[in-house]
Amino acid sequence: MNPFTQVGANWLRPIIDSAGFAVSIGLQSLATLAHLPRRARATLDQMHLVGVKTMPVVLMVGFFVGMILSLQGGQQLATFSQQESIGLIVAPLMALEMAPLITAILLAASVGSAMAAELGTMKVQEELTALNVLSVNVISYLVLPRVVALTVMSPLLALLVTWVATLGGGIIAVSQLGLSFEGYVNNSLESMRLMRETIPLPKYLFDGLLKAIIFGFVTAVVGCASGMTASNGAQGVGQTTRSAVRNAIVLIIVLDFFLGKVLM
Amino acid sequence: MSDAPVIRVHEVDKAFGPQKVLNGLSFEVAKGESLVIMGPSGAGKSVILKHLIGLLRPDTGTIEVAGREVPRLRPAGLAELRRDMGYLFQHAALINWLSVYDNVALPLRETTSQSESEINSKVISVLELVHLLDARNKMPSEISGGMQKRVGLARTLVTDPKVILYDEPEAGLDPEMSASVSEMIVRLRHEIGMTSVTVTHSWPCAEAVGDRVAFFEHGKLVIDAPPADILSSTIPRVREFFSTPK
Repeated sequence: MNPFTQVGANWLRPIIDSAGFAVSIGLQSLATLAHLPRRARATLDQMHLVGVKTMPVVLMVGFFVGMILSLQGGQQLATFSQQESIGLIVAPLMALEMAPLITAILLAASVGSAMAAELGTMKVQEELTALNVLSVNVISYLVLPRVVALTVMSPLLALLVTWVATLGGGIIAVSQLGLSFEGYVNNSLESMRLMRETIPLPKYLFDGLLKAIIFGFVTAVVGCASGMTASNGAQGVGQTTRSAVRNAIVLIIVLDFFLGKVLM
Repeated sequence: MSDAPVIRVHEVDKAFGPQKVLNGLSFEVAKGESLVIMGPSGAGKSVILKHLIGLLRPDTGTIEVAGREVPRLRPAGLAELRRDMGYLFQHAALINWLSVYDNVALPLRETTSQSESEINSKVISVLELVHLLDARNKMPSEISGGMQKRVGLARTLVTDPKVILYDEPEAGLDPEMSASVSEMIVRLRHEIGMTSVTVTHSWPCAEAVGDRVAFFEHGKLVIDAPPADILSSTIPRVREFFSTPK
């Protein structure tokens, strides 16, 4: 076998296969959206798992990121005596970029990995095959509730992260940069004044929430698709979980760049 | 017992990469008949079960179940075929977050438009049949392996299948529990008169449930005969395999 064929067979083919499978899972889950009323209970359970259970860690990370941005940014601005502008930076940066990204990465690491492990275990224990044999629609029964839950909860969490990060930034602005909290809040609100033309929402917030929705969808689809291709017992499930987290994070960061360009 | 074959496998070949798993395999199962498939590991026993229910497609050859050519069926036809068939998995494959009752009710809730009261009476009757009515509210993790197998059997029976495929029903069970599962299969056959194909490594199970025993090796049928004839076979490989205590 020549080296090009070998690279194609050993490296490119599995990537294309798994990407194709993930796209097909994503499309199939959209095609079963009409089943959502039947899956309300399972979807609410998943939303509780995604939203409520991961909220403390997501908010804590968001709070500290807001403080870090304010501290580091404020110190840099202070060299030009512009530290009072920190409120103009933290809130839009969090709303547009950091909150959706942090939320997506934390959800990929916690919820996406759990989805991959859960479905992977079901795959290796033949439970998915059993559902197929029983003519149960696996996409509607297992994937749809997870995809909807993550797609809905991701922007809500990103919104909360934006809020706590801005608050954390404000605490640093007051305690370390010697600014007034009122001035910081006014600057933060000022920075959000730019509105989207067609939607009555601040541009940065709207763009950030749109990204969060897309990242949530991608994380769920990658997690479910990876789980559904697991093989080779416990070791295979571990491998699947790792690749689900890695692929989701890589995809989120790449998508973030392109979405940023498109939404600019 | 009618002679019309419900299952017809003809000259089936299947390879996974370079490894040939089924090699010109042919056999038939008549309505109401119970065929047991035995053979060493890797002989293609479970693989043929997966072909019968359309989880795998043969490379060549034909497979017919209840008059339908399985490899040619599209997803809707396959779903229809599977509603007429049951498959008992080696490790029961129960959904671990559903109770025994909900596991058994699952195929009815997902694939039929029956009311909850109709589903309830159906589920209760199959749980009674497999002696598990008292365990209906338990979770799969709270019951023994043998009970899990019986729940799997109940879940298979609840859709009134015409053909049941058993993949090593005795796997992972102690001899007593294994005998109880075999007894259950025999009882179901006598009470419902169902056509079945059973893959097993256990001779007591094969002897108890089978009208015929088919011995496979390297994806080929070596012998297909009633259990009593298998033990008196003059084929050296068959004598060797069945002389080893199972």
